[in-house]
Amino acid sequence: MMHMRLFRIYLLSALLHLKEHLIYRASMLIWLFSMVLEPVVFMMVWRAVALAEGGSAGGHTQGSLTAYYLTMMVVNHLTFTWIMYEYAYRIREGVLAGQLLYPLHPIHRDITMNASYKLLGLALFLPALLLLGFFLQPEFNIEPWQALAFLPALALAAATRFLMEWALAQSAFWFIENSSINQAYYVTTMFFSGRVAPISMFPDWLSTVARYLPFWLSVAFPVETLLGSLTPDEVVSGMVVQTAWLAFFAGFVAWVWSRAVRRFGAVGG
Amino acid sequence: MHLVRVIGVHARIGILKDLQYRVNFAGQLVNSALGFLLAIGSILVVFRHTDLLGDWTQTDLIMLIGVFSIVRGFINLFIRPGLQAYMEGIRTGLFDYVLLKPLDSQIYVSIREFRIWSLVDLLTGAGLVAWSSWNGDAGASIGSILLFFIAILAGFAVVMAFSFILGTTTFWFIKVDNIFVIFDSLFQTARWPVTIYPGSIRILLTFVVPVAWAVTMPAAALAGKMETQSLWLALLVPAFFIAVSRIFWKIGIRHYSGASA
Repeated sequence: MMHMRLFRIYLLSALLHLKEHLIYRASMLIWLFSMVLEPVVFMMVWRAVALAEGGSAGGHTQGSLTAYYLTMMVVNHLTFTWIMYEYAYRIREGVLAGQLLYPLHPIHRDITMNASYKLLGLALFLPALLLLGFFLQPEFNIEPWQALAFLPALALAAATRFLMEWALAQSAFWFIENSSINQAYYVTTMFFSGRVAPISMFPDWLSTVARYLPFWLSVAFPVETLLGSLTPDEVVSGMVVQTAWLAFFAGFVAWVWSRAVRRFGAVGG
Repeated sequence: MHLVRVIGVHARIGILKDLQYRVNFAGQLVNSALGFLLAIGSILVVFRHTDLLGDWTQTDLIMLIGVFSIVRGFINLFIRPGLQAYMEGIRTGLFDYVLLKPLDSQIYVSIREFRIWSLVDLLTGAGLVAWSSWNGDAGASIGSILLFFIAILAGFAVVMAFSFILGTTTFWFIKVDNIFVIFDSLFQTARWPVTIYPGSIRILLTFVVPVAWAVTMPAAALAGKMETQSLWLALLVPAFFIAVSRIFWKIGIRHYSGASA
């Protein structure tokens, strides 16, 4: 019975957030514009490198780099959260004080809000993706098993990234001015998640390290799984490490939340 | 002379205001340093696989990041905060008081707020430019340094005019806080020389939204990559954008009817 109730709450809350997002259509379009532009810039950089090196750099051709970044664009959209940039505001302005009154952990609200945003965003993303694909001619060679493995890899990535960034957001309970913490996270994740470059472009030792970090596992891992730059063994071991990180962050979130609310002195309402 | 005094007064108020929040200085320092780390890390990865990006060497690109940081520091020092205050003022009606001041409203809006901690970006950027032009292959000459200063002033003018053009839309749409997200994401393209972008995008980034070009130009001048004939472009493009932003602002003002008062 408990599960049915939670399911109903999820459905209703997702619908509510869907309508909420629809009110801010222009902001959404503007935000999506920046989500498209970032991978396109790095795509152009690497395409220029490949071109200068006679068609391929580090084993990547212009076409495969394009495929990498177009897939990255979608995966990054489906896994990103904005929670850590918003949390200090929520505490300061008393939004959180109101949310704590619900007989439900506030994380559930964030999950449905995030999921409904992704759904709407995806619909807006597709035209941009098709247009870019048409002009830039990516090379996709997707085997059926890769497409199949992509889905669990993506689900694990999204869950890991959500919990990791939710945990990070809790730092706002200790530091009301947490922009430097967020910037440190942004820089680290940007570099190690494969958004600056496919990690095979790194020196060997660095790419070996990156493969075990949650940043790569929660963004580029599903991309490389789909595009076939990983062997079946690497895909399986990647999912095992993903699961380990997911379990770690789930435990961490539970622990940090119980300490955070104890620190919380309500503001506003 | 009068204008210089007005700017001086506002800068002083800004300094006094920001000096109350000294921890933000440390925050800005950490954020800038982390930003440089990422930018330089990216450049190092790229140059593991090639010696030249377009005709830019690794040192040239580090200088470009320095110029990028100078221009960004310049925007955040007073243009952006001034524009944000103005946009808020349109919504709340406080903009009425701007119009009552015996000073041109567009000038007043751009100089009334100062965020001095942005100087961190500006100065670290300048340091990076100085270091990399010292170590660059071209070797800075008097001519290239002179060209650099002309080009960077032109760059300031371009980003300032472009910011104003975006901000002026507030007269019609009231709540457009997100418009600077567009500016910031377009400005990210300036971290790399415009020459790496394919033809159509490059033209877009030079003539329609000249933000990337405004950064590439000064760096190219200092690295000795700027042809003399593009000097007229470096002067014409900002002149054009300033004229457009001026006309647009005038039309906007006429459209403004006050919100409260």
